[in-house]
Amino acid sequence: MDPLLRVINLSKRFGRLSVLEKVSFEVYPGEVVGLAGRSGAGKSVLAMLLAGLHTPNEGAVYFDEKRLHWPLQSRRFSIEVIHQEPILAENLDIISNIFLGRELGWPKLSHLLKIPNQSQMDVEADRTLGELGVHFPSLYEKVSNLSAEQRQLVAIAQVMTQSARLIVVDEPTVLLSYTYQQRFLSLIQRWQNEGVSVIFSSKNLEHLFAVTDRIITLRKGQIVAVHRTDETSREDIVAEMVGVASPHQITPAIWALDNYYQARQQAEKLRHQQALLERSLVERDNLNQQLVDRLAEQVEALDQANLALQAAQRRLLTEREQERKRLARELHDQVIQDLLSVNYQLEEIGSNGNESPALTAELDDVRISIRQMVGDLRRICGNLRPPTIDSLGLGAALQSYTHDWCERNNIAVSLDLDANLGRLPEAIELSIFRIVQEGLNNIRKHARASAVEIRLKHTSPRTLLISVADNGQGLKAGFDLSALAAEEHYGLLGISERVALLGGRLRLQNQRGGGLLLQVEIPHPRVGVAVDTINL
Amino acid sequence: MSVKNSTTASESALMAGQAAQSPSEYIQSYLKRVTSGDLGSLPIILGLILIAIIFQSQNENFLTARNFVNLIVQMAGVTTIAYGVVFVLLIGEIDLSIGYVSAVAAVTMTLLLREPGGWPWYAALGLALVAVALIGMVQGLIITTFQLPSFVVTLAGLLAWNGVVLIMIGGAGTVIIQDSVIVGIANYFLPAIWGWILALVFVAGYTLTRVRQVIARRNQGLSTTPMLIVVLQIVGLAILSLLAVYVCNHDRGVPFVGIILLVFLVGFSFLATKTPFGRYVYAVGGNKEAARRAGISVQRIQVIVFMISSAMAGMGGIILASRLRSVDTAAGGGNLLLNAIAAAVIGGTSLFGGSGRVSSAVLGALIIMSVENGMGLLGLSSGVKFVITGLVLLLAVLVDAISRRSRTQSGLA
Repeated sequence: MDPLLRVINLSKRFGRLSVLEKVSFEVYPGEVVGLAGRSGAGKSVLAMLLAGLHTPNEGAVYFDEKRLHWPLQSRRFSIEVIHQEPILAENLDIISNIFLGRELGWPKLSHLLKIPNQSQMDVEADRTLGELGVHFPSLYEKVSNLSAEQRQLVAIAQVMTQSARLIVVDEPTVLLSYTYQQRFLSLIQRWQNEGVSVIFSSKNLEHLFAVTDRIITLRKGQIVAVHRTDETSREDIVAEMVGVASPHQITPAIWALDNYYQARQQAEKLRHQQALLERSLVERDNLNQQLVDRLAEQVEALDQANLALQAAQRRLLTEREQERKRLARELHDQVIQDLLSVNYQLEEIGSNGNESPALTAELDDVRISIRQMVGDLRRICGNLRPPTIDSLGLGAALQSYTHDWCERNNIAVSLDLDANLGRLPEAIELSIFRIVQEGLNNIRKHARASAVEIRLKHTSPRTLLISVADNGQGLKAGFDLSALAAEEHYGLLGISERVALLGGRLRLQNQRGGGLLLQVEIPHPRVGVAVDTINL
Repeated sequence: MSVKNSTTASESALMAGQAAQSPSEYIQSYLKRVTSGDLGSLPIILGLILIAIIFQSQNENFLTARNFVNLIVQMAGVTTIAYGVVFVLLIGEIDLSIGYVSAVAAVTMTLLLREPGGWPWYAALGLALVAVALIGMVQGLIITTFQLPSFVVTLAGLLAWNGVVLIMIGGAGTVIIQDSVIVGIANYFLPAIWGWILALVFVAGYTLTRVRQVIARRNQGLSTTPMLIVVLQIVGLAILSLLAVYVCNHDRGVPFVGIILLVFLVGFSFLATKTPFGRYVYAVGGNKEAARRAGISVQRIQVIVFMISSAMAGMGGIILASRLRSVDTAAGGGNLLLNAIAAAVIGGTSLFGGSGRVSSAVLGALIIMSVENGMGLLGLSSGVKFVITGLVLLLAVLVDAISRRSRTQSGLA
């Protein structure tokens, strides 16, 4: 195959400074040739010569077997050049720059006067830039308002719209960020697959090794070596770039050059990955946040349901107490009074003395049974609502209740009250009374005890400890509070509910000497401060 | 090594839509442009209103139909020359020879028309224009081939063509133009009905091209000017042109030179904005190297521009001669050259190349000539006239410089 480009002994001097000396090489169709070299090695000058920016002093260049002459209009030969710094018409917009010199439109004959098809150019430019992954807000933006990277991308798009046969690329990646660098490298591969030859000069060996077929190393304007890319190594290239005879003599300082570019590359890659990672982290954070939010919502809903339940229970208890109180008052005020007046009437009848003795004895029986009924009703009233609790307080109520209870059941009760018990909020007093009541009930039903000891003590100014201890048989082994409901024993359960509503603690345990100890610890507010807040 | 087309955050930020704008967005972006210093022709229009107010308050003859028609005839010559100047300034060059080149065309034509054995008017006019176009080509070739500054080469032209004018006229002093067609260029007024017809044709043509353009772009899914704005523009243009015809018809009618100015305006605007040639002119003025690398023959563009400049100068000279019905040894002298360049610059064409519009020639000439016309009505001395014209030019350049500075500050250079 004939070479597409033949460069023979090309030399360029600026004044006395020789920047390119007798450079000869060939480029074959579809070949990517890399130019390696340090700054000032002559890579850019070669690109500028092929772009026609400078005229060589000596030598010849043949393109497709035709000799090139300077001043060179390289685009006429389908040679495109991408420079390190893009050369654009700053005062024109993006589209005009991309299609400058080959506007689409009609008629085909007179290019200078043809009417451009602006829409077609818009669509084409958009497609080309899309392939690069660039999207400008407006394609009619002046190029002078773009960033350096965007301008370089416009210059690349300009070349992409041409049907080039040779593309000279001079360090375009300097202005590009990592993503676009990678896209540009794959663009070079695409050109290669389409049969376009590429001369790719770069200081970045990684890029050179990624896409080139051959690498030409330049040093001080001269070609020092030409390698097939797959037959050489970075070490060789670096050694040639800096001019050391053997790779073994490469000093750390020289290695620093290559390492520098590798490190920069790695840093770029890292930065890119970091950006990706940060983005996915942000996404995951968002997801987590959503989950946490939903959880918090549910917990809050649950809390509210609980509060509502507690409130309902509290209301229930309060209502029940109110109901009992009303019932007790009605029994006491109506029924008992009625019975007493009936009794009085009977006595009246009996004291008249004109009745038969048999009738009098019968009447006496009825009066005795009525008195018993009144006694029973009074006890029921006392159970429904300890009559003393409202007027005299918890202590008095407990004393009278236990005294009654002791007489009725023949179980000795010792009551030990805190000396400064004082008055507590009504709800608490009532609860404590009911707790003691339930406790004694339990003892009566299950314990088979002969003595009960009840204590009411302040363990601190704000907590009250109620303990009910008996000398009975205690709890059975394997006792479970939660199983009581299933067996329809509501006594202990009622206690535990009341304690929970008051924010207190309940403890049940067998005593060492036998018998059960029921301990309840209840926090209580100072009377008169928080009475209103507790509503039992 | 292959890379997936994953879009990063920075890219998606660039992916703003290109769909059609709404009218309010359009107006917002216009206001944003203005406040960031891209004033467009706003200062000139404000300046014209100011000038009208000042002169009308001093002399009630300023805003009359008669004076309006006079103004059009007076500005025709300078505006025609300024059209060419805009192109020369756009490529970043200057042409100082236009004043006497215009005289060369006028004298050539007049001498060819001279009886007995005079040429027909079209041949004389055609040859005169070809001759000055050749002058432009020679000057352009000298400038581009030897890489000489256009300032120097056309300065030499200024002197040489002044000499040529004197030689051609010789001892005659003043040559009268007798051809009625040539005299009619600047002295013929259209009958009222033709004025109306022309205005309607003009508006209809503008409407057709605008609407077709918008529809074509919309069909391609490209961004377009909102229909409402387009309609407003069309209505505005219709009102302006009908008003102009109405005012002219109150006096002698629409001057024929007015039509010539309009035709040149439309033609050159099209050339500058729609054709590749126009784009290359801007590209050469913006970055010569970019243009060259894009495969544009920079030299060819430069030479053509100098030819346009000379040919338009010739056309302007012929219009001026037609208005005076004669040429004399003073033709092309005086402040004609500087008025033409000042018109282009006041209108907003940059002296450094790459930015400006053809319409700036008309707007700038309108400013200069209405100031001159108004001062003529006030009967001021020519010394005062020059001072004031100079100040107007300075003001125009200052406004441009200040707005440019705020543009660079807001990143819209």
